[in-house]
Parts: sequence; structure tokens; C-alpha cells
Amino acid sequence: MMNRRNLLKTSLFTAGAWVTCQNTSYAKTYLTSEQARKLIFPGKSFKKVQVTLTKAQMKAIKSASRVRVHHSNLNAYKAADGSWFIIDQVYGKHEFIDFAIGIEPSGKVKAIEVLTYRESYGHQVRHPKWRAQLVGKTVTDPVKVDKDVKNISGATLSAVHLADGTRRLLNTWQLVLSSHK
Amino acid sequence: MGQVSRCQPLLGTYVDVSLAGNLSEPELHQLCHRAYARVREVERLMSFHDPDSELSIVNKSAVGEEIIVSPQTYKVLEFSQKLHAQSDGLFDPCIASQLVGKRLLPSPKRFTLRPRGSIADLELDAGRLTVKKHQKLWIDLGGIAKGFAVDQAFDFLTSQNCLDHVSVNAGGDMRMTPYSDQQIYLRPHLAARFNGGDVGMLREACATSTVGGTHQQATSFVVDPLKNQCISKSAMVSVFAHSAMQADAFTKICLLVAGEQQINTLMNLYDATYLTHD
Repeated sequence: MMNRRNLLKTSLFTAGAWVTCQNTSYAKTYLTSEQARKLIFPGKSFKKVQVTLTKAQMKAIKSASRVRVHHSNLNAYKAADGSWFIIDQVYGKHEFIDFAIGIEPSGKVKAIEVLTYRESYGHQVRHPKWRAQLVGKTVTDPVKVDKDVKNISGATLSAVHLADGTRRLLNTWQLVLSSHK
Repeated sequence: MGQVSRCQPLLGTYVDVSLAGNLSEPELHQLCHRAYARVREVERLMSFHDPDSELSIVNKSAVGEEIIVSPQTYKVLEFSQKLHAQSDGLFDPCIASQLVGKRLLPSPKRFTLRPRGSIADLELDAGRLTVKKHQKLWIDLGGIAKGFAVDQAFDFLTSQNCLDHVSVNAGGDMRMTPYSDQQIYLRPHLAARFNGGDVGMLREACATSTVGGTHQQATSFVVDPLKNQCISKSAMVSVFAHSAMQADAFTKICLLVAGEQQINTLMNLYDATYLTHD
């Protein structure tokens, strides 16, 4: 059993790691949700729709998509012709990625746009240049082309989580939204 | 001056397009839209995963059968073949068999035998844009097509002659103009004991490849076509070249090559340069 001193040490370490992650998170905001909606569905008006998935629906979506459904509330908008625009999140390399998906009345994906990409480097805290470029940045900061946050190269990033998130939302459309009145 | 930045999931990664120029935001977004269409076209033509892609049609074709391909696919296959000869066989996109064996690529249906032909066994006819296999072979353009897709988007954007800044970055394979005063950040690779850091762009395009991995960095594979097996060392290399297709392909050769002399000769041929972290 963990004694009090070890518990304190662990707590401090956890808190430190959290602060470290906060300091070394890279966040690039590409579009606001409004900009993404206008780009995916130009000239089309949408209404916010309150969609709360039941436990049975969440289970059915998980079963159909093979992806866990974390949230019962959807951030969803519907157009008069049956198009849907949904804002969601997936877990990226280390952090959440916000994205928008447009689904046509037929259930086909019209487009996917990343709204905010985040990546954190917990072990990069000692790199002063890396930290310097992140100081004062928030996810709402406007993007400045290559003067704000640098381009990153490295092992190719996999977008598999975003593909999973898309499959989850397409199954959500199939099982819940397509029959929404 | 307007500027926009977009990011879409394509080619199995995140493709970032950033533009600045004396245009309105809607006009810049329209250019982004058309640039992404070019990336999607490369994905559609050259996907190993898609059984209906042009590449899959070539892979499934019989020995001796002539297949007409698009100018894009032809260009990538032609450059692959040229590089295969220039690298003494170290660059070869016909390593799909090994990747299927490692379950990194899906096994094409109806095929049980894994062919071991090389890209040299492909006959190319530039006049008619046809390809013909002289041996059974499976081509995977995963080591070069991402760079080519970046070039396709980049060339379209720069041909508009109205942009002051263009940057296309497909998950680390990137090309930008102007590049001379630009810095990029190389993501850490723990297996290669590289802590990450800033480097200046040395050419218009850059690509990075890694092999080996740890719990924080997914294991990546590079197949040695001469030994017919995955290389086992941990390493990371970044290549700076005049096109993203060259940079992308050269990283694979840099990871495989034994002596510096051979790689330097090749790099000099293309006025490219590289950084290794191992």
C-alpha cells in the first residue's frame, strides 16, 4: 500500500507533468467552427440541434463503428435539406484535435476540416526555443503563416484516430441523425 | 494581404496548406480547395489500400499486360525506376510483399503468392503512358507518393503567381516558398536519442523518416529491398531537396545506405542535403 510520503511525491509528479504538458503544447487553430461550416456548406443555413444519445444508442454506435463513444451530447447542426454539420474531437498524437465534418443528406461525407491541431511534447520542456514559440499562445490565437508556429517534420503522423472519429460519426448519422425529425 | 491556413486528413496523415498573398480570404480558401483536390487525386490514383486505384490495377495486372496510367502515376513510377538505378537498388517501391507480410498493408484479394520483382522489371513507355510488368510485382508508393502529392499541390499554388507565401506540409513531408529564412521544428525521436529541435530550411522541400520506436513513438518500418527484410536499427534522417518527392524518397535511401560516399554522390546529383540523428 502506498504511504503518505509516496502519495505526496506521486501527486506532485503528476501535477508537474500536467504543468509540463501545458507548457509544451503546440496548438494551431486553422478555422473557427463558423468558418468551417461556411467552407463546407457555402450559402446554406443551419440550426443547432440538441442531440443527446441514449446509452443504448451509444452502445449501438460503438458496436457498429468499433469506436468508443465518450460523449452523449452531440455538437450538431442541421440544414433544411437534411445536411448535418458536426463539431467533434479525437485524440491525436498526445492531445485532442478539434474537427468539423459535413454530412450530406445521403449520408456521404462532404468534407472534413481540422479546426485546432494540438500536439504536446512532455519531454521537451528543457528546449528553450521550443517553449519560447509557445508562450502566450492559446487555441483562439489567429494563425500567422509560418511566423507563429513552425512547420513540424518527423515521423509521419498517422490520422488513424480521425478516421476512427469519422467512422463513429457516420454510424451516429446512420443510427440516430438520419431519422431525426 | 490575406492569409489562410487549412488542415485536412488525407494520405493517412494531416495535410496542412498555408497561403499568404494579395488576395481576399475567400479567394485564398478557393486556392486551398483546389490544392487539396490535387492531393486527393494522388490519393485516389496511388493508394495501395484502395483495390480500385490505378496502382492496384497495375499491381493486379498480368505479366506482359499493358496498362495505361495517368501522367501523375507515370511520373512517380518513372522517377522510382530512375532512383532505383541511381541508388543501386536501395530505393525500390516493390517492397509491398514484405509490408503485407508484416500486416502493415492489406493483402490484395485473390493473391496468395507474394511476388518479389523489382521496379526494374516494369517497362515504361513515355509516349503512350503505359506500363508493362516483366515479373510479378506489388508496388507500394507509400515511400514517395506523399512527397509527390505535396509537389502537386505546391506546383499548382505557385503557378498562380499571386501568392507571397506557400507552404504544404503532409505530416512532415513539406515544401515551402520562400524557404531561405524559414525554420522548422524536427519532432523528437526517442529511439534515435534525438531530442528534437529547430533547423533552418536548406532547400524548398524537406522530409523526415524514422525507423525504430519506443512507447511514445510508434514503431516505423523501412524495408531493405536488397536484403528483403526490415532494417532493425533506430535512426532518423531529414532530407532537404528541391522537390518533396525527391526528399521523401531520399530519406529511405539515407536510412539504408551503408557508406557516406554513395549517398553523397546521389545527393550531389540532385543538389540535396541531409541530416541524420542516430
